[in-house]
Amino acid sequence: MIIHVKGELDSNTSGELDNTLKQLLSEGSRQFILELSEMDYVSSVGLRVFLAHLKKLKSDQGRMVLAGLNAEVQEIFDMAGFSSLFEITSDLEAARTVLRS
Amino acid sequence: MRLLRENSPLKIAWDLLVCLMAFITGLILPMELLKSFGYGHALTPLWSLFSLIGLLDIALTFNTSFERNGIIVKDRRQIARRYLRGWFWLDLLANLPFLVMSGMHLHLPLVTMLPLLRLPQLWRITARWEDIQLLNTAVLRMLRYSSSIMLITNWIACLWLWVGLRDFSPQGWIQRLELARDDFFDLYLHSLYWTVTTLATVGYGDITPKTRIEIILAIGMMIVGALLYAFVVGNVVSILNQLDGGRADYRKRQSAIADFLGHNGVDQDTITRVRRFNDYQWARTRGFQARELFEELPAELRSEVTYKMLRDQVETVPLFSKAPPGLRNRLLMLLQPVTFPPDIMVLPPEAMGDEIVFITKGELEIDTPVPLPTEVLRISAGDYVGDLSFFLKEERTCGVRSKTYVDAFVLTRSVFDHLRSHEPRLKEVLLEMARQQSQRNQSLLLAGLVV
Repeated sequence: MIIHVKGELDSNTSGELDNTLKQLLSEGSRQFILELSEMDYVSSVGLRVFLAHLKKLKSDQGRMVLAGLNAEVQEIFDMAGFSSLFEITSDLEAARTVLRS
Repeated sequence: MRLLRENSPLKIAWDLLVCLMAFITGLILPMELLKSFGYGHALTPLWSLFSLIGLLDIALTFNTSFERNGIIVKDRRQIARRYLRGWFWLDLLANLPFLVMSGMHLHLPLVTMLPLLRLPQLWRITARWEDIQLLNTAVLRMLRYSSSIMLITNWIACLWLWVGLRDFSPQGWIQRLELARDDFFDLYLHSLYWTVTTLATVGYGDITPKTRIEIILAIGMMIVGALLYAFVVGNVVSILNQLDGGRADYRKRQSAIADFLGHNGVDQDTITRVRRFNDYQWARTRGFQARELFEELPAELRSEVTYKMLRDQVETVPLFSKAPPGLRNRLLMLLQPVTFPPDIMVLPPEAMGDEIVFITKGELEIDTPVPLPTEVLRISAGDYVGDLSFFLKEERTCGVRSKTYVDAFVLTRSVFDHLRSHEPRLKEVLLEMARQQSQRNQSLLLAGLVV
């Protein structure tokens, strides 16, 4: 399942992503690619959505791959110590390859 | 022969030996002269050894570099010229004649006194130690003055004894006190006793000057000796005051601060907290502001001094210990060292995350009612805090409070931005550190907390 996130992921917009992921999970999806090349900013609330669903997926043998993070978002993941927690790829194609592996 | 450095441990040990030799000479030689008016045979090996040491010291001085205006002079010609124009002849006179005389079995009273010329060595060497800051200046001066007191007292006692021994008439002090049958040591002891009671202005009066020469000596001693004594004792007292001068000044300042705060209506509890904080700081800094103190040093030397001063603290912080030396020194210069007293909001809530605090000592706690494991909430030496709000550029949702005294370094956003553009290695270091921080940040974010 590929989800494209665009714009700013903050307290106003995170709810939408959270609900989408919850719904897909309830429908049985266990492998996600979050395509973030057009996501300009992520706030703590957005990070929490990523973290919470990653935790849930890991306990259900699912996977979440983040693709195409811009430099600023990548730095947030790096400095918070999350870049080794998530599977992060440079683009969508690489993310597909990772999931196939 | 290799050149010796004047502040090398070997040279310092040697100088200590030379000092000891000069002091013993000043103490025993006058007694020896009195006893036999020439060297006593029993001590001949000692005087020979001293002369040999003295001559060896002359040879060493020709082979020892020296410092002039902060520059180490290693040129042998300059070293020799300096010594030959200065103390060389005195040192030679103090040490050479005895060796020659003892070889020829000669006893010349005036020449036998020449080793007393070693005494200036005591002052020269201790002055050099003062220059290279081998010991606390006050301690060195104290040593110098106390040895002076001992030597002066000894010489006057020897002079008094000499008068007694020369004037063996019934009016002389030895006859009057019926001490003629006493051995040399008892006579010396009486002389020393008279000298000390007179110099200390106790003057019991049991030994008094009666003959003309005794009266002249007593007058001379009272004038010169008492003045010298007063000078030395005065200096010793002032040094003793100086020894703890820093602390005395600090106490005075603290008392003034407490008075000022009390006068302005600050309660006693707060005054005590201020006093404790200042005590904690003073114990570490002795009242010096290191950064201001070393402002004039070149940057590299300054950062080296700072690193050496803070080495223990710096090594507990991964930001410094993982950084290569160049980056570490820059960080040390740019990060602000701070101290927080117990129970203080180190990072207040609802404030923009514009700083990361790297803890070197003490303990803090994330201030939140949310029940989280202790290892997430407790922050101690080697940890850092404030990073999440800093990198997310958000307000903190909860604060961080000190539980004990906390020593830390603060990285502000402006310093970080500056370093990021100039020091690409900073990111690598932060990345490595962030892996350790991952678990805490996950727990905080999942609990809805940003610190």
